[in-house]
Amino acid sequence: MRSPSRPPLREPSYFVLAALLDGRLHGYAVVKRVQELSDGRVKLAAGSLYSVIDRLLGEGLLVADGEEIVNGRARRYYRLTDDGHAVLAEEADRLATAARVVHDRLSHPTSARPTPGRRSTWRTLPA
Amino acid sequence: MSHDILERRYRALLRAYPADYRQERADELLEILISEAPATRRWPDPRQAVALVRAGLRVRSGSAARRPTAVLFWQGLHLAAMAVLALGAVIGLDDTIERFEFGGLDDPLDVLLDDGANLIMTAAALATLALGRQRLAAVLVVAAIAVPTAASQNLFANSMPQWWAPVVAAPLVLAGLRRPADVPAVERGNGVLATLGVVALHLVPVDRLSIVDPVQQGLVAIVTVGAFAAFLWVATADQRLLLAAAPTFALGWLHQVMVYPESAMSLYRAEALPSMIVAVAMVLGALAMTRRRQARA
Repeated sequence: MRSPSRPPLREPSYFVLAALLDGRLHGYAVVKRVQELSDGRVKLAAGSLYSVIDRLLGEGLLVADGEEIVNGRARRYYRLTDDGHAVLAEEADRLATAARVVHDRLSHPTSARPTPGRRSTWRTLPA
Repeated sequence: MSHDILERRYRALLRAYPADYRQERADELLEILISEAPATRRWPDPRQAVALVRAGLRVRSGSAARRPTAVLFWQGLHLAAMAVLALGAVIGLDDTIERFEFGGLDDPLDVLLDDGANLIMTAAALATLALGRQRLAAVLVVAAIAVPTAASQNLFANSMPQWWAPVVAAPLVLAGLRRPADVPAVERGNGVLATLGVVALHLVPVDRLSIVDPVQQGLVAIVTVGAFAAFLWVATADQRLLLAAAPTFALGWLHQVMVYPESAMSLYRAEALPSMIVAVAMVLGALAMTRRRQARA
């Protein structure tokens, strides 16, 4: 179960979890899906992908789900666990909330300006 | 055909990972590496190569283990003992050769008693530790303190760094006997490589930065910066190296403090790196990086 004090996911972890939302995938398919979902911004090298997968496996957010032999090489599949779904959903909510705060202020710029004699709200905004 | 060559070269890079991890994941990693490569590629993509090596080093320092901090601590302890003994042996060998160069051949028994006993026993303790014979290494490292000191007071009386080597290594080796069963031992080849890396760090001619010839000074500066950059590049991925290097700085520091007690509080020594500060920073850095890595997925 996810602890309430869990720090935010790193971007590669976020996209790896997101790549697995539609079902189980093997490593190469995860790399391609992550690239697609991030509009080509997150390009995971093989070593980096498995560093992320190892961490997520260790936290119980992913599990290995089947293996097959393709071109003489073992290909392992991974899928999200219930905890993985929950953590991903929570992270997406957090990002959406953070984005909304900025968008609201961008559309009403004057309402965000601190007024004399009142405590500024700027400090409470996410960085 | 070119993919066969490419695969062979990637397989060579995969040796950055420990053998058991390689056995489990090599196929998966290779599938990505080969699928991503154009058909004509013969050499590994530099981005993939760098990521592979760093990821392999991180796995070696315990990132994929169930208890990463335990792996870092116990394997770091083992590597630290090896590095201290290796540095002691190198200093001892250098001094022994120097003794022979300056008249030692006239009385080889004296050289053997003064320097040889320490060198042989330190090297023996190092070899057994490298072979993973922890208990025998514990006996030999204690003997490497007692036997040479009983044979000759030369190293002890002058508080030589090579005399301190088994003294600093002994508690590390003895503590290593209590390594929990779920923490794997350091792979032999990896232990030797890590030890060579730490010893090489001490062979960087930092003191020659003060020479007058600007060309030589420039070369020394390049070598120094390159060596430290390479060490830090590896050590920030495999933090066991930081733990391994830390106690090696104690040898020069202990010699300095015993011979010149007034220098105990000095943070700077011209003939070596600022010793204990660097050592403590290395240990703290290793622990902080491991905790940070564990904290965030």
